[in-house]
Amino acid sequence: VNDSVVITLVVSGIAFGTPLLLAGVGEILAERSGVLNLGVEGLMLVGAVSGFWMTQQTGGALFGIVGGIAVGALMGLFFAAAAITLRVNQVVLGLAFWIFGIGLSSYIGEIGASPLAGTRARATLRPVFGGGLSDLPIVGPVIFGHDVIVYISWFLVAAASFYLFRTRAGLVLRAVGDDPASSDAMGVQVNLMRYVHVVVGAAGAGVAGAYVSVALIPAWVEQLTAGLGWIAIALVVVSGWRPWRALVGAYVFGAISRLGFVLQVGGVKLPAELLGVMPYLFAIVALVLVSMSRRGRGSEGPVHLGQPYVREELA
Amino acid sequence: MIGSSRQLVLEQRARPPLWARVGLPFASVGVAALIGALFLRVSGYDPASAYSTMIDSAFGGRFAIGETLVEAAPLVLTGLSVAIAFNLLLFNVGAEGQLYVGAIGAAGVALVLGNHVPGPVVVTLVILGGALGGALFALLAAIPRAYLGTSEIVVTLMLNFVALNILNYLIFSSASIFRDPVVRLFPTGRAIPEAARFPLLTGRVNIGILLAAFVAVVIWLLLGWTRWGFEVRIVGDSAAAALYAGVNLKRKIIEAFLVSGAMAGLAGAVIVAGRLGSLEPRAIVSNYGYLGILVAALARLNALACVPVAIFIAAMRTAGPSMQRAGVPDSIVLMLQGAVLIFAVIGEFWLRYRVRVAQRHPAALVRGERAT
Repeated sequence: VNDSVVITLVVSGIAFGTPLLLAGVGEILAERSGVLNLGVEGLMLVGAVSGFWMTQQTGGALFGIVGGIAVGALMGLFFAAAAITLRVNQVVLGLAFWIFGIGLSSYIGEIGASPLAGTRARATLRPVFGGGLSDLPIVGPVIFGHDVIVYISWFLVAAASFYLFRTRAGLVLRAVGDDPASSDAMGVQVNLMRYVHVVVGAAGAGVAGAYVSVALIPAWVEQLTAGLGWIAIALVVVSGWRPWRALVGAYVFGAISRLGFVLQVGGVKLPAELLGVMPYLFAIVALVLVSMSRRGRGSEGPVHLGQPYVREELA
Repeated sequence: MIGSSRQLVLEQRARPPLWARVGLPFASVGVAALIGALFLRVSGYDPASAYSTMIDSAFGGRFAIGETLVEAAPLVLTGLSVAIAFNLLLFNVGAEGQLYVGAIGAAGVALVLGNHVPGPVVVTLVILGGALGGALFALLAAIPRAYLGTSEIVVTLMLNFVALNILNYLIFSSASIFRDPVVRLFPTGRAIPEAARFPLLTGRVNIGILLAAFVAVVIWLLLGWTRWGFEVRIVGDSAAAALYAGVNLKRKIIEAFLVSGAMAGLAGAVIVAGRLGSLEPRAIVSNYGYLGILVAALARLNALACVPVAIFIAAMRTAGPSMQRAGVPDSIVLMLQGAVLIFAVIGEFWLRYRVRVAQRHPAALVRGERAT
């Protein structure tokens, strides 16, 4: 049973959905605070190359994961300073971080006498449960077959969902994204909330990238994440800014992106481009369907998404 | 105790002074170059020699200048594509994909008609084919945006990957008319007939740059001096005001997307019929569309300014290969371009605001109890 096409697809959907989920949940938190970070793909790439570098230096995959988190958060801090304090146009800023991230990560991969590009990771993550548990039919590979980051991502989804919808702080966060002026009047430090959530969200993108380079592939080549960051941004919209729905969506996207590979193993031959285009087509169709279902009621997202908050002051 | 503390206050400027508007692009390039020098130094390269190699290979001699001008033509057009849409606060980041489809359209017209129609006519049709391809592809994002409010940012970006796969499919995975029937090591694009290629001005420089400059003037007139451009700018300033003034918002969105996509498609035609002479994915997929965002931002969405800015960005691009030969990874160029864009948008802040040290307002004044 465990070698059937369906199980293989589900398992690889979870594996390839995990970076989407990590980046997506991070972006949900940032966007809920009202800041649109379109630089996710760039942050993922820089997180991936730094995490990979850390792994090569230390010989430990978890060091790579930590490196990805740290570098993602640092870039997030720069993004937050420009977007929140300097009130820069967030769309253009995000695109700028993306282009910069492609250039910086490629550059880091190519410097020195023995560059990182084209090498395999010295260490990678192993499944947590060996032997018996992971051999169980169906639940073995689907539930017990993963590395530690997958389980952490499940915990993060539950935690983010609880935080957003069951705690006072989460209520305040949503208020900051929906109506920063009223939140400010209530005594909430709007910009501080935004800084925190942008940095946490960027750390999510960084760890997503490191997961790709030290666990999923595990190697570094230029533009390793190949558009995953953009799928993650689409995922946030499709999920309606809800972590649990993002989990389902991430695994569906993950499975679709692996569909070709699984079919090929099963003997079905389709052009690579047809398979390559599937996740993007699926994202477009999902986005259009979501906006059709909300016709006339605007976006489901935070009301003030992408708008810097300026307290009205008397000059 | 009333208002004794001092604080930093941001004051909005009514209109940025001219020196600031002209100086901003130069300042952002300067700061990015400094950051780049830091990265080069830390990773063990000599920034001074890297930068002088760059300047030499972009402007040193007739050949280098010619290469830069050939590269600049599509960048002017993608810059215009982005500038038109952003003027309307439509974030069309799909110039990349619209360019691919424009290239396919232009190559298709050239291959089908190239040997049957006289030169000037077929070149005109190739240009129109490119523009039409880009415009129609942009429509795929424009319709959901106008009628359903679907985010054009995400949809146009997803469409870039769709266009990329279509382009690759035509050459690498099918026996389409675009592909050279003789496959050597790798499949390549089929050469378009000589008659369909852009005439050369001098050396390898084709009419592409003149076409691009001409289109820039047309777009500048269109945006600044026509009713259509006026309405577009009102929508950009305030959609509510535009609605109140009787502007048909949905229609404006569709029209702006069509013009924006046509510009990107035109860039595809310029690359295929001007530079390459075939539908060659390896040369077409080269960030021309994405760099259009950089061109438009540095030009501050001014159509005429897109021309010199594109020449500057093209110069950076032509320098890439020579950097690689000098031992510096050429990805430093893309990194620098990203940094320039970051500092250009940050610079907008200094255009809009003035930082001033001011007396803190007494609480009474903030509440509006100003003594009169």
